Amino acid sequence: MKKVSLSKMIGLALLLSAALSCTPNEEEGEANEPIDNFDRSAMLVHWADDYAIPAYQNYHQSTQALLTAVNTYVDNPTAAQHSATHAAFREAYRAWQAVSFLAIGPAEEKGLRNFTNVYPTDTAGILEFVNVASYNLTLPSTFNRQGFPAIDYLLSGLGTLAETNTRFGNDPRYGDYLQALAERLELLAGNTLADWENDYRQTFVSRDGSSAAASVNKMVNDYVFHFEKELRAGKVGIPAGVFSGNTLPQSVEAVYTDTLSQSLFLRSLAAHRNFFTGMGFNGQASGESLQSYLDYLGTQHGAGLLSEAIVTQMDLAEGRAQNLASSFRQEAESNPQALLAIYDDLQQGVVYLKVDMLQALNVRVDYIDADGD
Amino acid sequence: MKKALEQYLAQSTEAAPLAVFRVFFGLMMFASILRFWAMGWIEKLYLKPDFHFSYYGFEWVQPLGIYTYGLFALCGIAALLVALGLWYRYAILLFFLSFTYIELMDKTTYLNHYYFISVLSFVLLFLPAQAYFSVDAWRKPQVAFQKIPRWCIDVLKLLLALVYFYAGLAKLNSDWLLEAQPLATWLPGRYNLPLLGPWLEQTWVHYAFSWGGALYDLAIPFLLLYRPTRKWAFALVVIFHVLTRVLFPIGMFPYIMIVSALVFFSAGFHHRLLSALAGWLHLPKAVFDNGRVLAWAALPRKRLTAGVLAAVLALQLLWPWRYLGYPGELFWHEQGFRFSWRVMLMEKAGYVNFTVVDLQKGERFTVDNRAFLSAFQEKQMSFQPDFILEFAHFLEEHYQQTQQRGDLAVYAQSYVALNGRGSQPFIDPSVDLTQHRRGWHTKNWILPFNDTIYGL
Repeated sequence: MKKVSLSKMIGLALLLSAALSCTPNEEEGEANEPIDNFDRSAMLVHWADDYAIPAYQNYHQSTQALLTAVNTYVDNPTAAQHSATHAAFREAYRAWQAVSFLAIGPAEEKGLRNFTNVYPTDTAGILEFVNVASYNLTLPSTFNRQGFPAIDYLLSGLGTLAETNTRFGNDPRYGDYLQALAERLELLAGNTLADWENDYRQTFVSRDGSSAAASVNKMVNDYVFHFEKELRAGKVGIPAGVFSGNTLPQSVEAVYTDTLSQSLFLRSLAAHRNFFTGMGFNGQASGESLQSYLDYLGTQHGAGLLSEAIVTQMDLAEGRAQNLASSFRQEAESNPQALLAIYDDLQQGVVYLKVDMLQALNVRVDYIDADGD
Repeated sequence: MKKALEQYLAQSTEAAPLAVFRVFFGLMMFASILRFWAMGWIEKLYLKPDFHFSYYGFEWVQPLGIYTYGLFALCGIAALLVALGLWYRYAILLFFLSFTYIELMDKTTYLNHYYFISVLSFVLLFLPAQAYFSVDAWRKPQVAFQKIPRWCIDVLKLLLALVYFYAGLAKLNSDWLLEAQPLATWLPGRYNLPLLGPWLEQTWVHYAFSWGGALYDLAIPFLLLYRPTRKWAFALVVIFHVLTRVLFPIGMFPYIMIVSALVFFSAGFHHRLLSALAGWLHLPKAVFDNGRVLAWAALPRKRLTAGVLAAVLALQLLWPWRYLGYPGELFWHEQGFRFSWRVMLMEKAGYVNFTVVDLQKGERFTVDNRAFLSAFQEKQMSFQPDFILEFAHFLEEHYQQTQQRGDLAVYAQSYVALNGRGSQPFIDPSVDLTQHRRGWHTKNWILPFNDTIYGL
């Protein structure tokens, strides 16, 4: 009798283990209300309602304004219209900085960043498309022939203001391409916003688990990735020659407008900081954030709080950048040391974010799945 | 002494426990290979990356391109043959070689339990696991034996006991016992598990799990060996491993350990298990109960067998202690960390950047690691000095060959955080890593750990 119960016990145990190991599908499971924990749901609601959706609304409006201005300019390529269009372009490019790191959900599906801001742009490829007047801008091979960098080239890279206006006036193919680019920006922005406003907001907020597919994990991964690759490397490190041994001034963002790169960098940095500290997009609402999450966990770095160390690195970089010329191309050519100093500030920030913060939040890097032991 | 040994070796016992072990081991391995394949990990871990991290001395073991699938297929087939007990010697040899080759292809994927499987399959090569309840024994009555030398089963028990006990010893340190690290970092992240979730954020739970885990590892071999406690010990084994399976991404390991622990049970239990199995599958079992005894004295190459197994056991006993030969904190420098049953001991994360300096042209630039490595490889490299050194050497060679550069220096700027401490510099940034050889000698270019972890 005793022996039988043993085999039954083993059978039951194995059954139990099989059942348990199959259950954890955190996304769909009812989230138990934890006794004593940080309110991740509140953070997700804040990110969605106070940051992502208003930021996308603002970005979408700016692309609508850009499209309107472009249409007017193409019909009537005058200096005044060029100036108005360029102002709309600058405004939209700045608005983009606030949503660039939200590479989650609809933006991820659509590859939004790849279609919006891959630079340096392929000028020869753009001219080829203008000439053949036939192109499919949904192809990944056209990433570097569209988006803001391509518009930047068409508005400011073709020659002097008068030459540019003449080109647009004489050859409608330029206007067609510029309109196609502006339409595509507006379309992608509008679709992304619509997705957030319709279904994705609910999906985003409901995935409040801790698996690799959960919103907090993915968002944190996207944020850190963007900080490292786009802000630190793309906007500063690459032009300063960190990865190439010699400076690459032509790799600066918005290199044809030339006086825009500093302001785009500062916008992006401010967006990263606001998101981190829990400031809403409109500057009014504030809510749970990575900072309050780290502080809730009591994460220290040295004698102080890790969250403060992270903000300090961003402040340091901001202070340095504000003292530079509005053109990072100019800085890369004449004063790369200044850019390298910003790079170093951000580099230390990456260490804090990627090593200390990810560890404290116990966030798994989302593209890694393998067994542990 | 010698006489006692001879006497012990001459003792025989039922072969059924070893047969059960063989069947389950083979099936588990087959399932593991299938799972690995189905997850797409063959491509992701072995085909996609251009560069693979090698164990020192095993640089010649590299993935075989598209034929890597063939290697996994061979390994899976061998595992199935082991379970069936068909062409057992060749099957287990093939399994050992193919599995070990797979594990040696890239040390990024190192797991203690993979190493354990290599050790087990090597030992199984010397055991008459096909003597009972196997196709071999069914086809060739002359190799069928109901009884085998007792040590054949004891050696497996000893190997399992060593894994647990050493894993327990490794937990006797101040981080684990006094800070409840790394569990205090890991458990809260599983807050949304059903039922368990809310508890996982409580500090006392972290301590309970830490102390409980250490006690479990240290005590379980003895509880399993001692008949009166065996049944409850096995229940503990199941609970413990199911819990680890639920809490951590740990793959097949818990099931393998649960099934392996069955070897501690009596022959009677295994006979009933096999009877049930034979009943379900309509297999004959009685033919194997032939009363024939495979005596120690009759074993072919018995001196060789005894010598090899003694060497394996000695290595298992001593090898984990090699870390004592290195100065500094083991968790920090990881010299002597692997192959020592140090399981789930550290939450370690790092970040490393390499700067290449062209000494002739005077140029310097930073490397984008991801241009050469997968995210997984980069992560594993970021806190393991031997990976960092190997990658630095690779970079030197790569840039010399592809960019026709001459003398290069490679420097690493790296930060590592260990068990909830803040990040601190890891590798001496002023050291040109191309000037340092790989090998067993102390890596004096690792910066000292600015804290102390007490204990083993």
